[in-house]
Amino acid sequence: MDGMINGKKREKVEEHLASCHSCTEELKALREVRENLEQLGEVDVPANFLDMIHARIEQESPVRRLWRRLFTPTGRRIPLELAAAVSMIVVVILLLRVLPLTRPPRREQIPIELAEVPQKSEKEIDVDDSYAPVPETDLLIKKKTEREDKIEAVGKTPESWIGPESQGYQEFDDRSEQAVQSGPSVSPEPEVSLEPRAQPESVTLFETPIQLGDKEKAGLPTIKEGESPEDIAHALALEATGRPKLRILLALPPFDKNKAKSGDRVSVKQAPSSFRESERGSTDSLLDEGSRSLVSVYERIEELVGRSSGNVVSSHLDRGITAEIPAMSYEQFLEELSRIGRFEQPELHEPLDPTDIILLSITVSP
Amino acid sequence: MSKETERAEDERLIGNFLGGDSLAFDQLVLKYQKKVVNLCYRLMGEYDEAVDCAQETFVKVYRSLEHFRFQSNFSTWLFRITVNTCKNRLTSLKYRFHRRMIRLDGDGRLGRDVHLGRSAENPGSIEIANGSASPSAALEKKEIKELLQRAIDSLPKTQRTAIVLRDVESLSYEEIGRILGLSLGTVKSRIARAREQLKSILRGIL
Repeated sequence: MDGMINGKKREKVEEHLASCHSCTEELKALREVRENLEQLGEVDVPANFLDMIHARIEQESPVRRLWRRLFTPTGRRIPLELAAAVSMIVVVILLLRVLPLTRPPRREQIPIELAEVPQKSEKEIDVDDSYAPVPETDLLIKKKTEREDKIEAVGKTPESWIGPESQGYQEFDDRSEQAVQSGPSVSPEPEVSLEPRAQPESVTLFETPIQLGDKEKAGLPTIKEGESPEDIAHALALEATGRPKLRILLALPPFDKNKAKSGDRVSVKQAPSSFRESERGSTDSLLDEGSRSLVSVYERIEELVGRSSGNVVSSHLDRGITAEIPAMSYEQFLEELSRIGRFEQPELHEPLDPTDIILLSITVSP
Repeated sequence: MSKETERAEDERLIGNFLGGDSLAFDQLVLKYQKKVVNLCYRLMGEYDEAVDCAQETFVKVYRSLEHFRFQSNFSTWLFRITVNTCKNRLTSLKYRFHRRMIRLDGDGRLGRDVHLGRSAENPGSIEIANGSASPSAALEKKEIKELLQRAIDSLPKTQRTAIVLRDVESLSYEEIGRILGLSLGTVKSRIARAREQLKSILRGIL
């Protein structure tokens, strides 16, 4: 029909068609279709066909021209897959550029040795357990003795500070003295830790803003005479970081006037010096209300540091909390800290860079 | 004019156009406009749409002639653009909506639907097909052509393109394969199926 078969194949087909009536009819019908299609003829082309083409070429709309220049700059259509891939890459790059601004900046890690100095030296110096481990109750007793020294320095009787619920500590006092006096591993160093801690020059709680020394105001750690070695190491750790350092003395409102008649300051010294989870569980039962309240305050501050994308460097009931706070969340941190207690906002000597990490020393004074 | 001569002339005109001779493009249009308009008409079934598609085809050729690499005949390349333009138009939402609207008054059967498009033979008129059951012998030549065109329109797009290129435009199987980007076997089977379908459609009418 189309002249597509030749030779033997053609002969075979013709032979079959000569003998097969239905195939002959089929071929005839198909030829009629073809003839009819061929007779369709041609339609005329409009007279102004060429002019219309020129008009279309010249009258390309500005939008279409812009579209063509954008998407077919080389005269070829950009494949949809390629366009999608390029779009994805652009989106990923933009996300990578934007995300670091929303995330807290990566903080510089303080050398572990420095960061752990206060906690590591705690037991060694206070109770001299570098060779013989001392039970935690003894640690508590040690603090109790320190508290009594403090009370004497303030000029008040121990009884006026100790509430009825904390009388039980008296029994441990004797044991603690025995432990201190008869312990074979007691060294002269504990004397250092038993010294009353130097207080800020002028601190008035609850009523007036807290006044700090010049060095403290400048956010520099202060090292005073008579401070224990761990305090010095702690201060040196703050010095060593070379980042903005600020100090906050947080004054707490009375936590419970009925139960706190013995005063929180006693409780502070009775509380364990470190209240990590492992120790907290074993000492909670021995803490009075004031200590428990203070511990909860410290926990709140630690939680607040975490919420502010910060990092607790050290946490110590005596020396307070040292934390790293990203400058971006610093203002928010201070605002939320003011809900816990009152404090004088540290003065910044230089404007903060958003990428700074502030080393903040928070001392809680109930 | 032999195919070789034709090819050489096309290449000369394209070279002149790319060299800045805008009249060379006009010569190409004048040479191929009838073939392109007719091919469009057979594929689209409507004269106005066919002329519009043909113009669009030549505008595309004008813009992409610089990318023509002379790896095939210009006519093959031109017909390929024509077929693709018509296919795109047939599948466009706007065109399908337009087709649906003008067929609303008909019952969809051949010979009975209303054709509001201007016919190729008389572009200025609007024709309404005679719905009476006239015997095929009485049908005028014009009406037979209309019916044949409707029969072509009723074919699936793939078959329609193949049968038009073969039986209307009288192109070889190989050239159809190159235009449609299909293998020779696929072209043959599509043409065979189209003829078979047209045969059964036209049997009851002609």
